[in-house]
Amino acid sequence: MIILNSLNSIIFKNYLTIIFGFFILFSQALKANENIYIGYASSLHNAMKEIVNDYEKRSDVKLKFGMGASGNIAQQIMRDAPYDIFISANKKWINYLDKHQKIKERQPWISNSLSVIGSMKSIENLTLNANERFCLADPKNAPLGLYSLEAINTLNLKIPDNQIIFLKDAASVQYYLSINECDYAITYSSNILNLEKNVDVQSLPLNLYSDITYEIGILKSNKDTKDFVNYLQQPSVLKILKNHGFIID
Amino acid sequence: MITISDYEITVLLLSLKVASISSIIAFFPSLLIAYFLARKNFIGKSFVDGLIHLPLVLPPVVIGFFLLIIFGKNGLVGDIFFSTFNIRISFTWIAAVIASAVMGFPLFVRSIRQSISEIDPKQIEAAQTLGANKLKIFKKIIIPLSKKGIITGFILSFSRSLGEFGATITFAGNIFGETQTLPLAIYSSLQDPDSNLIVIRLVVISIFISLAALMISNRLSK
Repeated sequence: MIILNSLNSIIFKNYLTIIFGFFILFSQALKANENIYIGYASSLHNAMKEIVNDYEKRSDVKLKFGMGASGNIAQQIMRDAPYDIFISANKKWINYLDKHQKIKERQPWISNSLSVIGSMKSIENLTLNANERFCLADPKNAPLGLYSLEAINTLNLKIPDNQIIFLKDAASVQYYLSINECDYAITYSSNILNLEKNVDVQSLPLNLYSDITYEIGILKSNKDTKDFVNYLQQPSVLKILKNHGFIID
Repeated sequence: MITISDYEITVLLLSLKVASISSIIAFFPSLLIAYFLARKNFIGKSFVDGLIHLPLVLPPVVIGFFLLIIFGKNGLVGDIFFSTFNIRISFTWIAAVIASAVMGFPLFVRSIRQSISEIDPKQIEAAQTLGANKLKIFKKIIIPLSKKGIITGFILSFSRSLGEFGATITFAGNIFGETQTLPLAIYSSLQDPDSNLIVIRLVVISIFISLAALMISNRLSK
């Protein structure tokens, strides 16, 4: 009791000092000069984890990353999120940042393709029962959603609005597929590798949608970011991506 | 002249529908549990108490995750509903109602419990000596005397539901006209660089409704 009381009074008397101390402590932690911040399309997540691990083994630079729908990250950047490198799953969101003078340098990267998931004879004559749901990425922000809608429109599929579940990005389509919440879904072919074996997957013909090209945008041009972007184009990295199901041109 | 667009009306009506139905659903279990917590002592009371308060302290997305595990198409309860009745719960407006009810539940219990524990035990004893049974005491004494707490609970859980985001988007998704309530609509518009005006309009609507709910609750609980 006495110890507790004296502890209490110490904390009470030095309240301001303690707050100030914490402030100094955390402001030091916030000053991270050696970090590169990378924002990338969520479809890259599994591959990126591997790539980042590999890179940190050979370099002193720490990589910090945020992922989401490409459009989502682009808008975070517009609101001054501190990303140094941005990898988008289409050109649109790099163009958007370019238009606002946020991009110092840009280069095309890898490609991808679409697959449709769900039991069906063929996607052309797919009809949904009333309680079935079709999961798509939200075309507002997720490039996957735009590509998927292109394919759906080319095929002239009719899916009632209230049976579509729009999910925020490719990663959440992946997640909701993994818990069997979607009867049907369109997702990247690079994302179907970790699905369960008994799931029906068909790849969608490439002529149904426009080319899926990932593009790298450098937002802060310095040696560290350039080194990392150069590294991303190395054959060893491209091999990792190929193993994850991406298309290397 | 300020006009409200069809889009805003759809979102607004859905929010009000979800908020009112979820508050009504949360009311009966809240009343019973509040009564037991306020008037009875039993083993494990503090555990039950803690359990009830979990939605208040857990991140809402965790609640959404649990609901998905329980009521999802392949979930523990959801599977039974889906295979026997062919009813789907997740990603429908019913899911939004369940999410809101769960999130509003602890607030409801707290305020009713507070009122019930303020009731003078002598009044209940008097009723007992006069021969009233438990049900009659509950109906004639407990409920009328805790009216204030019930109303506050209603408004609190209603307002909580209007603001519910994390559990809803995880468990019910963000489907326009089905599960897209006000906060979800604001979130969606925030993602879209061309919707700044819509964001401001939705924010104003949301402030207006919440303020109105609080003012009504102040008026009613006087």
